[in-house]
Amino acid sequence: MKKILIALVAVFAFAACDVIKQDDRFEPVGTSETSERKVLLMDFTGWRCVNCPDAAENARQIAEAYPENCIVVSMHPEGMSFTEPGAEGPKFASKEAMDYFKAFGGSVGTGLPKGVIDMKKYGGEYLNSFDKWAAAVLKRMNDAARYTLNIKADENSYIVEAACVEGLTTASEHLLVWLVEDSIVAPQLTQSGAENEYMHRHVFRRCLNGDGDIWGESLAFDFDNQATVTGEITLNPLVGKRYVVVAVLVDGETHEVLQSAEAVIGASGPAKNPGFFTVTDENNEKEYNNGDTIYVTHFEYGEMVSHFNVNIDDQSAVDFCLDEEREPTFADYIYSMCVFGECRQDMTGSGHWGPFEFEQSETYPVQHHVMIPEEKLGEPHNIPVKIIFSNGNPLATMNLVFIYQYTPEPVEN
Amino acid sequence: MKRSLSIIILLLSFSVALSANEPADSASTKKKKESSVQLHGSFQTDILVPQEDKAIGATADDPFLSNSYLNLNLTSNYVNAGARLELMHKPLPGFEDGFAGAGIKGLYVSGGYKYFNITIGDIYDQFGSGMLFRAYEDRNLGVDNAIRGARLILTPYKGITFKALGGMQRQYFNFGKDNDWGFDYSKNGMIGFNLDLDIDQWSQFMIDNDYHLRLGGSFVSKYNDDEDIVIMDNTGAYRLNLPKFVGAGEIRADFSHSGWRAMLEYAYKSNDPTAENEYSYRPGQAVFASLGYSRLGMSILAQIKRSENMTFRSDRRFGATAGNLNNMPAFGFTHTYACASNLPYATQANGEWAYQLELAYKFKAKTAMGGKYGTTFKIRGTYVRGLDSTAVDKVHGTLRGTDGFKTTFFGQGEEYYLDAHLEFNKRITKQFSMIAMYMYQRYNQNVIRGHGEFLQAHTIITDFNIKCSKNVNLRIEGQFQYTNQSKEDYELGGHDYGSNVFSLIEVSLFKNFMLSGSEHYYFRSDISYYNVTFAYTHGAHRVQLAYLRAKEGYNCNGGVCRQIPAQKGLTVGYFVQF
Repeated sequence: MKKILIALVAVFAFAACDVIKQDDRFEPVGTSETSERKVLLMDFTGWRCVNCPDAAENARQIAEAYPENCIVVSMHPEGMSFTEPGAEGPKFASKEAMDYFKAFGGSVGTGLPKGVIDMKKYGGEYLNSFDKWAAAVLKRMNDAARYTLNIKADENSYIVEAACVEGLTTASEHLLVWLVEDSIVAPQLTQSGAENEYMHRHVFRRCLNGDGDIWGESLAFDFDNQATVTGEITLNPLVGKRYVVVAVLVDGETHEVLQSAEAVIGASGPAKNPGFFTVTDENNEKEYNNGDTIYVTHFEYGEMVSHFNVNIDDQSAVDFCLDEEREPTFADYIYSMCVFGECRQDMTGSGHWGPFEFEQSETYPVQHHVMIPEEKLGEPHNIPVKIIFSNGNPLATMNLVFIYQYTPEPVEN
Repeated sequence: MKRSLSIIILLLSFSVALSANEPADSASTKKKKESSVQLHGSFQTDILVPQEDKAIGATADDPFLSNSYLNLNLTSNYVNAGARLELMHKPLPGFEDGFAGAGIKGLYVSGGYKYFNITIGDIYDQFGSGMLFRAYEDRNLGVDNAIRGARLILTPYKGITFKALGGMQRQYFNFGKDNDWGFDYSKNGMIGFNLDLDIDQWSQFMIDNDYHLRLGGSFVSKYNDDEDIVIMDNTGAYRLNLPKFVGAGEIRADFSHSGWRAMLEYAYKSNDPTAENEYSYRPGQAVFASLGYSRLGMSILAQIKRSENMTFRSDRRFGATAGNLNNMPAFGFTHTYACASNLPYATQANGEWAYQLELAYKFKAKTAMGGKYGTTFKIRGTYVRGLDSTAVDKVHGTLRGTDGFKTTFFGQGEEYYLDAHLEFNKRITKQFSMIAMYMYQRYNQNVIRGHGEFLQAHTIITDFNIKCSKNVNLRIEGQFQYTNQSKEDYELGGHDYGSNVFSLIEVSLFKNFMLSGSEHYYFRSDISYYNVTFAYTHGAHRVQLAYLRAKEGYNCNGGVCRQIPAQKGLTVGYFVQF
């Protein structure tokens, strides 16, 4: 009988429940001392993945908490339903991203988002759900860094300097150099629906070295355990706010990241438009950059108002289109709109203008012919405007904000 | 691992202790049965030779994909044993990556004598309706969540059945140099108890008057290793204090009499923060009630369920179809007709209110409504709404580590799903019978699929069966579905849930051969999906060859859905039972 009771007690001890009170759920984690390691977080994501914005926000919090110790790169694997652009989506997917994804055990059918931290297994897996990322990055930061890595880059080239500061090199180190584009405004599906003006961060564009091999090039260290590599860069027109070059030093056999570094190309802050394409105010005095907001605040009734000019410098046969997304009430007070000389009176729905072919230096105004009802007085009215290549690649985005200062008398027809 | 082993030993000791206290059965009354050992089994293999088809998104990364199963069962008077060998190095499309591998599963030895039965090995079982515990296999869904451990069943007295089981739950395969057998288990433990009391067995009055009353109760507890889940905000980094033991209990009653049946079940689960519920500490609970009546020619069934945060996995990291300890009763009908199954419903883990009503009536033969052979009408409906919930305040900038949301018990949230259909089944002549169905569906894509607009669909289905001769049978299906999916939803989501039409012709010859051809056309994407199948059955053998182009979609059964990517290619299937 006693033995039976002991057995029962043991069984029910196992069957007990841990009820965690609200005040006991969060245990502060001591932040680590300054770490020399820069941890690479590869965020495999897609514009059709509704849970991915949460993961991206999580990655942003980690990078913000440890700006000197964490580099985030968003990878959009090609061939997945989450990343196929279709008619509406951004063209972020790349074959290289899918090659990396497969290398870590992913496939076309794998769910997103998934993250890889320093190309190491964490919890027995390479691909981890985003709730694991913070702990994995913190843990990895505490691992001693045997290498240092520095990179400098401009619009034409980069230079990477690596050094082994502890122990010996392995003769199997490889250097990966990636081009990343940051802060691109493009559609994203979220749990609450489609968000057309979502900010996509740190989008992987392509490998800059390796000649088609995603594992880059072998790195040869000299007798001082140092290595220097240079390379050339050819940039496409900027779609986001900035280009970033990311250097990743890996073990050539295990692909474990030994050290990472990044360099922003050009000045930080909003990037300017490409040299052959500028947007200026109607007097060609103020230059607008990609992402700027243009305020239109004063005009006469019936006036043809110029908001901005698109200036093309000596480009042959470059095709552009202009898209704008209008609120339904737009047609209530805009009589006509002229873009690059093409005028229309149908202001319903969204507007698509072009393509326009420019064969020489030209300046084209964007104008609205307005008749404003009284109730719209003082009300800001925002219209996102995209200027895109005819093949669909975005060139520039800006917001037109109309704030009507006064209401003219309506003209009777 | 050590703890699970010790529990198993304790259970065995418990059973030995019980049997030791029982009066010894007289050797003179024992009958020696002639021992008969029999071997049964089955073999099944399904192979796909894929072809790339960019128009539908079908890929062909491998020359062929296959799922193969060899099932063996040895039965005798007192001891049974079995094993299942599975080969899925390159599994069929739609199975999760972890399914790839090979190994021996379904390995068990069980023995029983008088009032006790013990099983050691892989265990499949269910407590009540499964709200707390259900270990089962469904190959089409890719579900196999057996518990590897031990189970004891005691029936010490009539009307009393007690079960105790425990072990580790299967996840996938991990066949490799360090894992010769391919077992891949959660490395965490669970234990469960179930007691069923058939009250009617103790009352002669109830037995004589066909009353049946079963009262039951269950308890399940799982153990998870600790893990690091870190939250960061501008005040610092915080690690979640996760419960290692999570317990859940259930009580239920099941009453039936003269065609009537009533069931009531209530389950409660303590805090269970997991990856799936975004580490919410809110307890879970579920109520399920069912009332039905059936007699010859008529049946009626009404069910209602409220569930809240009742996903119960053996490992808090698991998702998809892996590691479910329980299976909530499904309220969405599993349709077999192609158009009707375009918009399947999957039980929502966060919670839902679900209602179901079924009414079937057969008008007798040689009556005005029944005609010469009788006519059967079925009206069935399922309606699901979310819970009336509001998010709690975030802590450290996140809902993780909080209770997640607050609810009122009877409050209902947004509409999730409606399926109402009327089915008419009639034999017109001795050779000709038909089924006709109209279905109306309302489908909240944003909730069920994670994105998309609210869809409505009207579906008409006709199914004609013609017995041409003694050896030739012809079946013809025609289906049409209209939906209100907008062009924007199609372009944004990339999935065509618009209007579509389906047709099928199936010829059965000599009861052994079957040849069928079908086409499913979607108007918006202007794509046809087809399937040509040949099957041959002989005794216990069945061979099937098909060439198909299949749309991506979902395979659902019992409220559990598996996403299947688009496929094109040749399929070969073989099944034999012995």
